[in-house]
Amino acid sequence: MLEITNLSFKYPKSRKVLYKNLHITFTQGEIYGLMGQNGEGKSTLLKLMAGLLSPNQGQIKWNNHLLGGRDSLQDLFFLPEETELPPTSLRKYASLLAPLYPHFSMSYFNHACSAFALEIKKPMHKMSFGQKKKSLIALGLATQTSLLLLDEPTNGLDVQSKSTLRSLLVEEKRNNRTIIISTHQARDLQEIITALSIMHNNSLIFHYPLDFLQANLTMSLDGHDQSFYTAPIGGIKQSLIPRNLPEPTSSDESLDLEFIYLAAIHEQNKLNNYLSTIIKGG
Amino acid sequence: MTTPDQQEMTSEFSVFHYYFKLRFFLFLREEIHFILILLVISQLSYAVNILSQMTNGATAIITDASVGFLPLVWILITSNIFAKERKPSRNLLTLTTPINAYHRFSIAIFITLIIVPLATFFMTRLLYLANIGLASILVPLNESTASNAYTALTSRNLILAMFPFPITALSNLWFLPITFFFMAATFLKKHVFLKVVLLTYLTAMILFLTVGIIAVTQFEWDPTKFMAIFDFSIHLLRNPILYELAAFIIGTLFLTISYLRIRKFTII
Repeated sequence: MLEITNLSFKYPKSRKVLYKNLHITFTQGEIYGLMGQNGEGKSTLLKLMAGLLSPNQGQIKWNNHLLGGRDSLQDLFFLPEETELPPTSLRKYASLLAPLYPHFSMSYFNHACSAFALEIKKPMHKMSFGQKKKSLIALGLATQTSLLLLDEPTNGLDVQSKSTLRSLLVEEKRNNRTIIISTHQARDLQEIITALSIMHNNSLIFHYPLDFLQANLTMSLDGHDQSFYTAPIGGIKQSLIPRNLPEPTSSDESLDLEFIYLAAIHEQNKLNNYLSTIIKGG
Repeated sequence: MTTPDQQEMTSEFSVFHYYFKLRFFLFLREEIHFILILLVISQLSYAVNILSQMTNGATAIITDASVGFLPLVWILITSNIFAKERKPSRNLLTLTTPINAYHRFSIAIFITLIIVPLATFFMTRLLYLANIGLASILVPLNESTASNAYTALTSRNLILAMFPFPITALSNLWFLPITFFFMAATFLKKHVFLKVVLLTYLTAMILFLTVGIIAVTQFEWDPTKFMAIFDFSIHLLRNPILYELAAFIIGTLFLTISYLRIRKFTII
């Protein structure tokens, strides 16, 4: 379990304080989708979780231990949005990296590489952006760490690779790994995310399991008095409404994560009040 | 049977060892061009020297130009390696490996302070020796004496030529600049080498002007009175061991400041 308590952070030369007293818990075995507009601090939050940045205030604990020791470092892998890769082959780099992670699986690495159709003998710095991303994902998955932090993993991936990524991540969920994915492309990962966290105005405004959302919210094609948010999707007006309304409504069973995101940032109080009332048993 | 502490130490050592392998491999791939440039420039200077001696004769063995380039290559490599270690801006994949920043930093120091200077020094020695050998074959004998600098070369002279650094210069050329560049890299984000060179130049100019102003206003250009300020420095220079000790203390201070600055970069 990853537990963030009372976290505040500010970049040294910036006036903007990110996440004033942020409290958030990520539980084992879930795949979290972390959404937010550009500049909301999603990547910064992942870097703080990975220990690459130091919080100004607050604590980040992984399995009840403060982040930073050997145990926590061996048990997390961070996939940055962009990185410079070394001038060596993926195979060589994997062989150098493997001993640093106690559960590194070379067979899984080969499996991920073949699933992504990666050329493991090609120098990594000469790969295309998408290939670099896939190489890092293959390495990250092969480390078999309990915590996997992925910053925009679908950026630069083609349709086939996105599908492969989804399949690989679903396999990981069965292995009880905690995966936190920062993304703007919610629809790419809609089928695999099990919980949704939304950042807005540099605060966490929404953090619920998807099962809970599915059980209590639904999409409606009709306008409705009790809708939390109404907006057109592809020219068709849609609303996010409570699932258990007494009067029947033409509802669409699957929730659209991007629509929930829009509802959460535009009607934050209305939506959160409703969901928190349900949690409290109201 | 090992105790938990021993196991912990073994594990700590093995992680250190594996990270060293990874970092050293990356160093070889990424910074080797500096060493290759050093070797090419050195070889060019030896070649020019040999050609000149083939025409003009040899009163002394070829000069060793690589000695001037070595410290430059060391500090360039130092600036480059530490720039990569200090911030999560360049190679995040390396920075997120399970090894803490102090270990990463220590490995960078080990590479730049020990491995690179030793390896480059011995590489240039071998190259120099090979070129001396080549010169002894190619440089013709002096017609009047039927000999040249190479025929008259003794083992002692050869060894002295191969190891040109006097003890007093060792700290100046190796320990002090490298540790200073480490410290500078903990304060400067980019272009460490260039910024340090410029800052050093500016500081030297400011000091020079200050000293000049003091000399004019306080000592009325009396050289005896003025030079008395530098008595301690001159005393240091005349005592190599004392000088080395002072340089070692200052260099260690630079490293200590650098280590203290690591917490600023990462909590790992």
